[in-house]
Amino acid sequence: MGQVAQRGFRRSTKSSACDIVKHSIRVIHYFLLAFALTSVVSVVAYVATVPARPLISDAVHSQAGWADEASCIDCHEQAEFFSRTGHAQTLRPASDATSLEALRRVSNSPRLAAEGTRLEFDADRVFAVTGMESPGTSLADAVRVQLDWCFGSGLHAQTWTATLLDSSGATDQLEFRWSLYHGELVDRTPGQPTDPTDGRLGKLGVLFDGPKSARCFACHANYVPEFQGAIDERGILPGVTCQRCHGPRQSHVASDGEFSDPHWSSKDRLESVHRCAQCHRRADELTAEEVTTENKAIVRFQPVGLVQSKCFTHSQMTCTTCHDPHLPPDMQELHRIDQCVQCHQPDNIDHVTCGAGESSDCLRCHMPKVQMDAPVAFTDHWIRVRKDEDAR
Amino acid sequence: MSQKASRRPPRVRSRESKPASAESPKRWYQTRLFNFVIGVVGIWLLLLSRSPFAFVETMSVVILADRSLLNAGRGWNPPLASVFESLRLSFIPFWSGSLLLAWIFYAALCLKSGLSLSSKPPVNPDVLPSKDQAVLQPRWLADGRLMGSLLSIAGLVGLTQISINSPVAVVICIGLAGLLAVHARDVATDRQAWKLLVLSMMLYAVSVMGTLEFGLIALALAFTCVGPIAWQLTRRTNGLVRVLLTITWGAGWLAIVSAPGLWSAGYFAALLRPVNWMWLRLPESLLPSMTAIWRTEELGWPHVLGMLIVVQCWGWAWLGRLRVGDVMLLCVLTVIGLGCGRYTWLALSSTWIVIGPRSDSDSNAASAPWGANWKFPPARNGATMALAALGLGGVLLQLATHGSTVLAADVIQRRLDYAQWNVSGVVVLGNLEETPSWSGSAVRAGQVKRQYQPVVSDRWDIFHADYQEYASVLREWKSWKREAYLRADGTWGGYQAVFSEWNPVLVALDSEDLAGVHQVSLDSQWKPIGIDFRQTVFARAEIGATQAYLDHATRALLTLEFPRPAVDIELSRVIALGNNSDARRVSGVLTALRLPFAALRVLPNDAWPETVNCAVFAYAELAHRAQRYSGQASLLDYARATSRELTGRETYLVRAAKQYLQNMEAVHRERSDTLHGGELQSLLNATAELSAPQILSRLESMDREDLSSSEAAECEFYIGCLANEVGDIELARRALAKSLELDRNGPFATLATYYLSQVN
Repeated sequence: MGQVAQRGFRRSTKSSACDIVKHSIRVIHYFLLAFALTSVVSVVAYVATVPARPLISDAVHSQAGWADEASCIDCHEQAEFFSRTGHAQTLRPASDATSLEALRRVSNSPRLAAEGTRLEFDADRVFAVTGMESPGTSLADAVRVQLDWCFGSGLHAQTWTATLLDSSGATDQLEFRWSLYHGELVDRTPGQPTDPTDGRLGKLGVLFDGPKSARCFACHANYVPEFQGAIDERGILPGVTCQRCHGPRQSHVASDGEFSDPHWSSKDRLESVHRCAQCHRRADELTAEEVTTENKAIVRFQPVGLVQSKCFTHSQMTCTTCHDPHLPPDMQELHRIDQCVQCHQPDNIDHVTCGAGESSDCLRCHMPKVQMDAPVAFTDHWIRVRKDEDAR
Repeated sequence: MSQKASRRPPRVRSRESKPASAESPKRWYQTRLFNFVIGVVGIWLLLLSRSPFAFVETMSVVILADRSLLNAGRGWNPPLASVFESLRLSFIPFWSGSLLLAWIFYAALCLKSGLSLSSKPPVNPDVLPSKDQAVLQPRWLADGRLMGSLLSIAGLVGLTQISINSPVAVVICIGLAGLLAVHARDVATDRQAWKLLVLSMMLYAVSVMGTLEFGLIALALAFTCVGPIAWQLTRRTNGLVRVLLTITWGAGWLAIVSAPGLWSAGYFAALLRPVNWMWLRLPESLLPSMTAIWRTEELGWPHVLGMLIVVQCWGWAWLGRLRVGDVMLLCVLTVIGLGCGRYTWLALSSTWIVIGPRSDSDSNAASAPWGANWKFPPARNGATMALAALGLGGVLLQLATHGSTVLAADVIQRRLDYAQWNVSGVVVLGNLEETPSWSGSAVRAGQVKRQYQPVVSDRWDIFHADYQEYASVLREWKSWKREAYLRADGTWGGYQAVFSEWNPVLVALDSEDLAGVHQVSLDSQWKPIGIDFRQTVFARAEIGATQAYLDHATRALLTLEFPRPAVDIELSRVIALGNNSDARRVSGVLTALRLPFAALRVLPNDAWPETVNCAVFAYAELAHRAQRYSGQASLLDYARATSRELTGRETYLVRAAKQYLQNMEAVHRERSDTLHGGELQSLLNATAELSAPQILSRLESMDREDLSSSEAAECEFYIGCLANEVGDIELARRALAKSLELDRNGPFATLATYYLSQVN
C-alpha cells in the first residue's frame, strides 16, 4: 500500500493543486481502509483466540494455585503428625510396600482359594487371577488382572482396585472382591455380592464404570486429572491432605504466610460439616424416609446423623469440635467421655448431664458402634438415647 | 435464456450504442428490481430445495423464550414469531430443484459477468475518482469479470448453506434492505428520499416483528439506506446547519430503532444479538457454532469459497467503489461472518445481497449495454468457465452428499417427532442450537400450551448469565455427579438439587457428544428414549408417563441389537436413520450406548471412511464386551478392528478406539501365545477385512476336526456372533448352543449364555 501511495504522491507533485488534494484524499482513503481492515482482523483474531469462559471444574480436578505441601510443616505444627492420619493414607498405589504387605496377608486367606481366586506377585506388581491354565485345553483359561490401587489407610480396612480402559476411553475400575480389615481379617469388600457376578471378571470383583470410578478417586485423592471419564492415573495425587480442605495455598506460601485466605474457618457450621460430608455424605441428599432412627444404613454416613442430633442443633459444634483431622486417631481422645465433657459439665447449667447417672462413658449409650455387613462397625453420630440392644 | 436475449435484438442494439450513464432511471430500476426478484426467488427455492423438511416440519422463526423456566416474561418476543407457519409447502421434486438451482446459478453468473465487463470510472461524483485504478490496482482485483463470477458462485453457495434453523425471515428482510440501499444511492428528489425513508422504517418494523435478527437489518438500513438518504436531504445546507441536521438524523434513527425497547425489556439485548456473542463468550459446549468459522467442525470448501465474498467486497472498498457506510457495514459483517460460525452464511449472504449490487451500480452498470448482462461469458475465458463448472459441480456435490434425500424428495425421516411422547414439561438440552426442534413440535401437535419448555434456550441475549451454571449442571449430570461436591471456586456442585428444582422429563444430548451419551447410558435412572442424527433423548425411568415409551424404546434397541420377531415395535418411533450420513452418526451413538451389533446393523453398506470408522468403533466395543465378560480377548473382533484403518478427524471415538486397541494389543498377544495350533486365529486374521457374511461362510466351512473342544467352542461362539450380526437368528441359536455344549466352562461361555438368552 505504501508503494501505491508513494507513486500517487509523486504523480501529484507534477500536477495541479487540485490533483494534490485528490491524491491526498486517496492516500487517506487507503490509510483508513487499511486501518479498518486491520481492526477487523484484530477483532476476529481476538474472538477466535480468546476462549469462552471455562466451566468451573471439580476442585479435585484442579491444581490451580496449589503449593508444595512439603512446605506446610515448616510453619504449621499440625502438619507434624498429619502423615499418620487416615486421611493422608487413604489411597496409595498397590505397589506401595504397605499395600504389598497387606496383599500378602490377603493371598494367604483360604476364602480366596475357595472361590478359585489367587494373587500372583511379580516384583512390585500384583495380579488377581481366577481360573486355571489347564494343560488339558488349548486355550488359556485364566484371567489375570493387575491390581493398581489400594483404597483405605488400613486403620479400618484396605480395598484394592484394578483400572481398566473401556472402548470409549473411560477408565473403568474393578473393585477386588476381598479386603483386609484392621490389618488381619480378610473378608468380602463392602458392597460386593455374596456370590460372584457373571463373567470371569465377576469372580474377581465388581466392575465400576467410568463415572463411578472417578467418584472413588475423588474422595480418596487430592487431585484427579480426569476428562470425559478418562483418568490420567500418573497424575493422581493420593490422599486427602492439607490443600484439599484448606484450599490452594500458593499465595500463602509465596507471601511467607502474610496472605491468608481463611477458606475453611470462614464457613458457617453447616457449611463446615458439609465440607466433610462431600465424601461422608450430606443429610439433604437423602430422602426423609431414609433419615430415620430405624435405618441402620445411615450410620455409615456420620454427618447425616450428626446434623439430626440435638447436640448439633442446640449448640455450636461441628465435626472438628470432637475430631482433630490433623492428628492420627491414636493421638486423639475420642473415647467414653473425652469430648462430651467439653460441654456437658455438672457446673455448666446450659447443658444437661446424664439422667441415668452414668459418668464414665457417654458413647456406650449415646453414640454406640453399629455393626455393618462387613467386619467393620461404625460409630452412630446421631447422638441420642438409644436402647442397649441396638448397640454392639 | 439466450433465446430470451435473442428475442429482443433491437433493444440490445439500441442500448449497446448508448452510454449507460444515459440509461433511464426507470430502466435502471427495472434491472435492479429484476435482479432482486431473481435473488429472492432464488433464495427461496434454494432453501426449499435444500431442505423441504424445514417447511414441512413446523419451524418457528423466533423462539418463544418467555416459556422458559428461568425467564418468564423477560424475553423479547416478536408477535410474528410464527409467520412461517404458513409456508408449509409440499416437497419439491429433485429434478425441479436441480433445474431451478442450475438456472439461477447460470443467470446470476451471466448477470454478474455482464455487469462487470467494464473498467470505466464511475460517473457518480460521490465516489472517489478511479482514473488511475487500472495502473494502481492489481489486475486480478480490478478484473470485475473474474471476481464477479467468483462472487456469484460464492454467494449462491452461501445461500444454499443456510441451515434449516437459520431465520429465513432475516434473509428476506436483508434482501429488501439491499433493494432499498440500491435505490437510496440514486435518489434524485426529496419525494423519493422521503418515500425510501418511510419504506425503511416499515421494513425495520416488519423485521422487528418477524425475526430475532433484526439487529442486522437495523445495521444494514442505517449504513446503506438511511445514512445516504440523510446525506442527500442535508446536502443542500452548509456548515453548522448540515452538521446539526446530520446529528438530528442520527438521533432520530436511534430513537426509532430503540423505541420498542420502551415496551420490552429484552428488546435491546435482542437488537445487539448479532454482535453481543463477541463479548459474552458463550460456552462452546452449549452453542458449538458460536466459534470462529475455521474452528467449526463443518468447515469445508464452501466456506473457503464464501470467503471470496469478503475478499471481493474489500477489493471494491480498495477501488473506492464503496461509500463510508458500506465499508462500515462491511467491517461489521466481516467480523460477524468470520468470527461466528452460526452467522457465517447469514453475514456472507447479507454482504452479497446488500453490498454486492451497490459496487456495480456506478462503474459497471454505467457502461454495460443492456442485454450484455445476459450474454454468457466468453468461452475463451477459461478461468471463468472452470470456476463456473467447479462452483456448479460443488454445489450439486454438496447437495448430493448432505442433502441427497432432501433433493430427491424422498420422504425419509431424518428427525424424530419429539411430540410423539405423550409427556410434557421441562427439557434439558445439551446443544441449545436444537431449541427450535423442541419448540416447534408442540405447535404441530396443535396444543395451545407448549409441550416442552427448555430450561434455557438459544436466546443468549437473555440467558447468557445462566449458561455457565446450566452447562456445569449438565456436565455433572453426564458424569453422574449427583451428590454435592466442592467446585474449584468454592461453590457447591452436584446436579441432584438443581434437577429437583427443574424436574425435567427429558434430557436431549447432542448426538455428537458421544462421551456424554456413553456416560449417561450407564445410569440406571435415565435411559435413551429416542435417537436421531442430531439428538439423543433420555427419559427418567421413574416417571410414570415416560415408562411405557422407555419400555418400547428399550425393546426396540434390544431388537436392533439381537433381532427377534417383534411385531409391536415401531423402530421409526425410536430411531430416525435418515440418509447415509445420518445413519453413520446414529451408529456412533449406538456404539456409545454399548449396542455394537445395532451400530453395525444401521451402518450403510458403503466404503466411506466414516463408515469404516464407525465399524471399527463397533468392533472395538464388541472386543471390549468380550473382554469384560470373559476376561479374554475376542480374536474375531480384535482382528476385525485392527485390520481397518481409522482415518479422518481425531474425534473422541477415534482417539478412544485407537487407545483401546493399542491397549488391547498386549492382551491379544498374550492370548495368541497361549493358543495351540492357531488355525482359528490364522483364519480370522486372514479374513478380518472381509464382510461379516464372508467371514461367517469361511468359519462354517472350516475343518474343525483338529481343533480342541475349547477352540471349537470358541469357533462356534464366533459363528453365533456373526450370525447375529447378519441377522441369521436360527444359525446364531444353533452355534451358541453348540458352543456351550462343547465347553460350558470356557471363557466365552458366560457371554454365549447371555447371547443365547437374547436371541431365544
